[in-house]
Amino acid sequence: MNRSRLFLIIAIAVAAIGFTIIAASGINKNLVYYWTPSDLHKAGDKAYGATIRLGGQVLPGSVHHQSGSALDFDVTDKHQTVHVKSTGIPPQMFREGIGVVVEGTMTREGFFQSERLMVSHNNEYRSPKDGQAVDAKKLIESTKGVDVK
Amino acid sequence: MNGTITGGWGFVWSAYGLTAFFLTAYAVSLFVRLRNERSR
Amino acid sequence: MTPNHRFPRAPYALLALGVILLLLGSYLGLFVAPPEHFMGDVQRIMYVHVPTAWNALLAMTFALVCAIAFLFRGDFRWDARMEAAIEVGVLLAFLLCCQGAIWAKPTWGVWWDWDPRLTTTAVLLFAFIGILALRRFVDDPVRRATWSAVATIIAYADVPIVYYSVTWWNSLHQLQSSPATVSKSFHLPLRMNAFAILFLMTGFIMLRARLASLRLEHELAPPPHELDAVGELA
Repeated sequence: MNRSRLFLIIAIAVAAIGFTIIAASGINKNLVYYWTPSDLHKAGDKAYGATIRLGGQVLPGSVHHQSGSALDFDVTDKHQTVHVKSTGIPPQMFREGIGVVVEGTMTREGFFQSERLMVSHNNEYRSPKDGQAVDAKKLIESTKGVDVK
Repeated sequence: MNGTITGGWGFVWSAYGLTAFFLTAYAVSLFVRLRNERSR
Repeated sequence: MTPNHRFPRAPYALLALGVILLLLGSYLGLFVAPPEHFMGDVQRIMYVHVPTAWNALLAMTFALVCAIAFLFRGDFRWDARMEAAIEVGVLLAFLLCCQGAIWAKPTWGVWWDWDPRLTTTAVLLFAFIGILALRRFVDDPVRRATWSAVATIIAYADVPIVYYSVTWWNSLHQLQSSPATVSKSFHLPLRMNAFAILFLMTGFIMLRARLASLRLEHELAPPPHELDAVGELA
């Protein structure tokens, strides 16, 4: 009985320590799922060649359709902008102003070559009736699915 | 392309169908296992 | 010995209630609620995905309570309840990942990606599958209960990480929604299905705990005809 209470204390301690380590690394952003355009600019030469994910907002007015499913657009975090050439088929949700995560590599020519285009929507779910009340500008500002600071 | 999804009912039905299937299968397995254990 | 023996019909009543509510909530979600502004009809997956997520985490939380109660009190009824909660939690977490993948394909454009929310959820699923496997490999009931209770407490540390993953790290998965970010017309089917799956989960856990208790009883005192069989072998 005392032994099992000792186990209880040890288990809680291990869980708490593990949780704290991961929480701290999360808050320090030691673990990164995608790079923002600012991160990419800061990385300099390290950004070239490696397969990375770039996340941000599709800059309104920057989308150009090429032949087939190929697309050109700019990804922005409001501070920096990266030009993206995408060959992946865009999801139906893709539009100007929406959050995207693209997977690929930064090229020496200064654009990001992506083969995988993912759309990141925000946490808002609106019925069409509410949707009409929300103007497009506000929707673009509220793409919280991707950190835009 | 206007940023909205059209159609996609196939996805909706798969999600609900899969959920219903596994919940039912779990219920059946639970009843069978209980019956077997009770008849031991 | 058997848990909840005072209300033998309670789990069946809960299951019946859960099925009726799930049918009603899903009917409202599929045919009555309007489609979402951008996601259209695909958003209807929310009415089953979000309740599954809530209840999966709730089942894991109940498993944690049982693990602590067992280590504190040494009562095997808590061990039975813990085994039940983990198994039902694993079922819901598995369904959660499948529903999520089906929803992700048309909206994000991919079935799966190793973003923080998805990765931590997969870790949770496999950690609890691991605990169920651990229980199968330990023959001594005391050790089995103690070790799996310890493992449950440690694995549970992942639950708040799953919850906060979308705020701590940048992710493909959106932030937690709240009633303010979800249109009112979507609330009723979402809440109905949340209670429906809660009732199903509770009914399942109660029945599964009975099964675990019965198994333990038979393990400690095998039924006479099985003892005969052992005698013949010896």
